[in-house]
Amino acid sequence: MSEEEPVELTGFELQDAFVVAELGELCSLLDPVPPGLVDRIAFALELESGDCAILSSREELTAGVRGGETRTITFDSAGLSVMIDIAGTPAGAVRVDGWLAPPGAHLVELRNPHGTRTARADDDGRFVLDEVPRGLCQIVVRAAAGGEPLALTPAIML
Amino acid sequence: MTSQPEPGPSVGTADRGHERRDRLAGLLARAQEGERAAWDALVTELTPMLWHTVRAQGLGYESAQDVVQTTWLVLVRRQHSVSTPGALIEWLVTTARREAWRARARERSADLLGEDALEDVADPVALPEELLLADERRLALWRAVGSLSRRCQVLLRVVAFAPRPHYDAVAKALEMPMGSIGPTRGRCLAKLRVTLAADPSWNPDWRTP
Repeated sequence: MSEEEPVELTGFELQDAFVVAELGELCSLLDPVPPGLVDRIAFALELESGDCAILSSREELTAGVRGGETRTITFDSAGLSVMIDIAGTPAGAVRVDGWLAPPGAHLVELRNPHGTRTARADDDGRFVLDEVPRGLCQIVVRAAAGGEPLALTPAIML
Repeated sequence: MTSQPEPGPSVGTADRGHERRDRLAGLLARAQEGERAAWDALVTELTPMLWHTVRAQGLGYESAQDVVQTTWLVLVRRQHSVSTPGALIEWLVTTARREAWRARARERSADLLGEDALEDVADPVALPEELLLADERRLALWRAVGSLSRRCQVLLRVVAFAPRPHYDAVAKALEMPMGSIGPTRGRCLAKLRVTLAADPSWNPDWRTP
């Protein structure tokens, strides 16, 4: 593929191949790819999203009582932030309370393997999605007019 | 794979690299035509390489997952600038590394506001010694790798998860230029070989572990 390698390093020697394979196994044992990551990525890639912004997430430590079942996740990009609070509901699903900043009356779509739910943010950028099933999901912010994607989050587990 | 007495995982499979390269080329072409299954196969095959690229940059467990996912999302948008498997590998590792760097910068600035982020920065791989101590040979390898320069450690860790024909693409993406003395990979491995040879716990008969 590239220039020829010098003689003393030519050929990936057997021992080197062995050592590299061993190192790979060792790293896989010590720091395995997190379970579910590959599935989350595959799910996120299903969406046709053009060239919209990809938000990066930051999960805050749970505020309040331990086991109190509220998570706060902030998703940021240069132009838009989405903050969501996730709380369990008695029915075993979750309620998502969110804010867009800067505020905009955009459509907020929550997609999961079963389909999509859409809420419209109010003029203050607030939105609510109630009784969302637990599991894999991704949030897509779309323009109210036309519906083209403005930003999307990585796929996360609710 | 059949006639050799108990070869190691990737020993005695000289042709596998070729197969994998051709397979990757095929997957890439099909993915670019929009075939979902091809994307899934690429993600399954190459995510471990990206995971270790990002973790070797010292990123925490959660942000590393985010960065790997973002890398793939960006690729889908830029896929048409990537036309060969080598270019794909180089692009992925380069992007993962850049996104990891950005994530660390964000964590550092968040750290000015609260201590939460601290936990998530530069957490080295914990060494479950009980697991390793059971296997002196592996412990010797781990020690030997740990004695190398950081550059070598990162390079070898990522190379261990890269398709073999594209080791050079990995080195390039990690900005370790191949000079006239030889690829950095070769030098890292040469050093590792010397270190291991001097360690009595390293099973000298490495062919039959």
